[in-house]
Amino acid sequence: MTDNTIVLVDDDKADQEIIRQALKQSKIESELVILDSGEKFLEFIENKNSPNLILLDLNMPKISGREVLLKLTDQQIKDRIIIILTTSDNENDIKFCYDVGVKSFITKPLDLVSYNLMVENISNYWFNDMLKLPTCV
Amino acid sequence: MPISKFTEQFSGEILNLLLESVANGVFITDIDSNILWVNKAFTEITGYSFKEAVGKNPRILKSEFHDEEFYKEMWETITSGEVWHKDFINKRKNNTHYFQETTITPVKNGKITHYIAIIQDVTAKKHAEKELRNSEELFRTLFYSSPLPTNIINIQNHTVMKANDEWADLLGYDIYDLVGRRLNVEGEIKPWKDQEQLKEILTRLKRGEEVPITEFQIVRKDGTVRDCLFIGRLIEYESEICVLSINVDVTKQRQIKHQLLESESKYRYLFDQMLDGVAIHEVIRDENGKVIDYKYLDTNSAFLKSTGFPKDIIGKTVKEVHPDVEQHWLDIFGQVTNDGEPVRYENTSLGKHWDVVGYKVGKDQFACIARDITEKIKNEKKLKELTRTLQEAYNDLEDFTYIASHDLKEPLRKIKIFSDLLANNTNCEQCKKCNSKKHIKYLNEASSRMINLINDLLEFSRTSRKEILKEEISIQECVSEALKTLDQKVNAKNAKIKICFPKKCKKKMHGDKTLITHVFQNLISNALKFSNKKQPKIEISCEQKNNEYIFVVKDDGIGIEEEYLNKIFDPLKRLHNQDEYPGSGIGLSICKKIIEKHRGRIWAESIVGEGSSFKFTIGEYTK
Repeated sequence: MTDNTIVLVDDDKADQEIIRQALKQSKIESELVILDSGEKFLEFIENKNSPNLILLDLNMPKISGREVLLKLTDQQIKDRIIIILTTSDNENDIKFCYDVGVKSFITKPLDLVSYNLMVENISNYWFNDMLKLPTCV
Repeated sequence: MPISKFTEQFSGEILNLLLESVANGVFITDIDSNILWVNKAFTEITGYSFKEAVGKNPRILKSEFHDEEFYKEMWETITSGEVWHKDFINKRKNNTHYFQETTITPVKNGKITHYIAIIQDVTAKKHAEKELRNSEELFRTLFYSSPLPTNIINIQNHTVMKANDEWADLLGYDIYDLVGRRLNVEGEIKPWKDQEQLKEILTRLKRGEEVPITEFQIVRKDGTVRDCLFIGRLIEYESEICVLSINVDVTKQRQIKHQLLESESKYRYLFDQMLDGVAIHEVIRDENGKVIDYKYLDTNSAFLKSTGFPKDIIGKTVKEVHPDVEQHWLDIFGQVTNDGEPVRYENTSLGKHWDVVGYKVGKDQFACIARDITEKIKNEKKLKELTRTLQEAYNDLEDFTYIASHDLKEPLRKIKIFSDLLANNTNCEQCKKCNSKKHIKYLNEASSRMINLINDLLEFSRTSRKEILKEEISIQECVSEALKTLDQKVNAKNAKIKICFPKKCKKKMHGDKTLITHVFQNLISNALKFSNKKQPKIEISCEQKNNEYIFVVKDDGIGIEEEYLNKIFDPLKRLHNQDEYPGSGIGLSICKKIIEKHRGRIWAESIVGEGSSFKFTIGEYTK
């Protein structure tokens, strides 16, 4: 796994496709790992994989994004770049996520241009040589 | 027989016997007033015996009632040979006084030799005369100075024999018109209204019966009627059989009594007809003054009906009809009768809910007004339950609106993004030939509009649910804030914006700054949108009218037809198609909602082709 791996945790096929397209259009070189459930993500973390950037959806069947965050340890959250990418703009959700230590909370854009911009911004910010990150535990 | 012959024949013994047997006292004196002889009657009158009197001067009988002049006149009369006759007061031997009728006759044989005095005790007669005089005087005084109308009428011919002014006043006549006139039965004046009643009374009086005090009516000269009492007795007056009667005018008393009865009956009616139960009680105390029971003095029918207590409750005590009454209540009513402070409470007894007011109505007496509020409480409960259900339904509906809008947005977002993607991919030659690119554009625009619509709906729903802030805000600041966010649009439209706030309108208002800013933003945005001028002019101003401030956003745009002026504030109401003027049709309903939440009004005035004015007020909040 390269340093530029993006893990997308989203059950929605369309959203998966949009991210895929957006990454493609932004010409960012990164590997995209798509996990379509909270369970798979928790499994993924347990296998000591150390992804740099995680885009986590909140509304998922069975184990939701919220529950995922509750199941992770504080340290696990702190060590990773977890960005919430969701349709929700609910204030309680926003507060909860920042409280448990996510790095960012983004409401899914409503058009493609905004999507591309968002992906570019994230990549430019986090996949930067100058940016130093802790080693994941 | 000549008198001298007779005297000679009967002198001596016979004469002596005669003088002794007459009832009048007789005594004879010599010229010097020494008593020579007295008869037995003299002794009976004066108390002096023959032996005691003879040789004495009649001065022994003299009382201190008459002065010297009186005796001098007597002496002058008799010494001149005249007979002296007078009633005067003398004194008996035992010092008691008596009236004496006296005749003194001088005995003359050429000159006066003796005096003969005949005396009689007329004390009793004098007294009787005096009594009569006094009695007459008293009667006259009573009759004429009595404040009670009084009259004497001849029972045979109904002539007024005597009457006082009060009686004349009562009848409304001058007294001279009445006295000597015949009244009633056969007279021209008939003051007694019910003549049959009068005839009956007169018949009874003639029979010598006592007539009790009788009510009757008098018709006065002017036709008005007075209520009177008749008090009459049969008397003999000036040798005629008459009726002495007193007629007491009781009209006023009757009126007062009538009014009192009327008032009493009115309040009684009120009391009986009241829907609230009323009962009046008297407290019963023990030797320490503590209230241990109370007695029912009076109740109205509502009280009996609502409590179900028996009709004969009056006179009974509460412990007799309601044995488990708590001492607590007795203490409360004791307090009411002691300090006079009314109490009001709600309680449950006899299976009902009551709203009771207790207050003092007299010494140791209190009244209770008890309202049966069972039904009211039941209704209140029902109402609470309904309100709760309604609130729940309302909350559910709002949650639903929010969730539905949110969830509707989600698939739309995808339609929009994938149509974006498709649009990017339809640049090939083949696509240019077919209409795919155009179709995708329509799809894309439609989804954009829908997203905007849902966003606005969400905002409308949020505004409805939101509790507005009530802080001090400056409306001018709201306008500046709104213009800041619209800066780009204003520039794009090349609009000229004029803000005109007179000094008196610069007052701080109470409200929610964000929401009021939103209203201005919306109204200014509309003003920009609905204009096809090269340089639209927008004026934002404030005017004061009838103690309220009216804020105005005025444009010179296309205007609104009058019939739509009210409808434009309805949600989703649009007057133009999307191609001309895009929009969701929710903006103004959000403005209306915000202004309503501020207890204000919003309305529009417009002339088609000349422009529109949107005006609103903000109700002042009072804490």
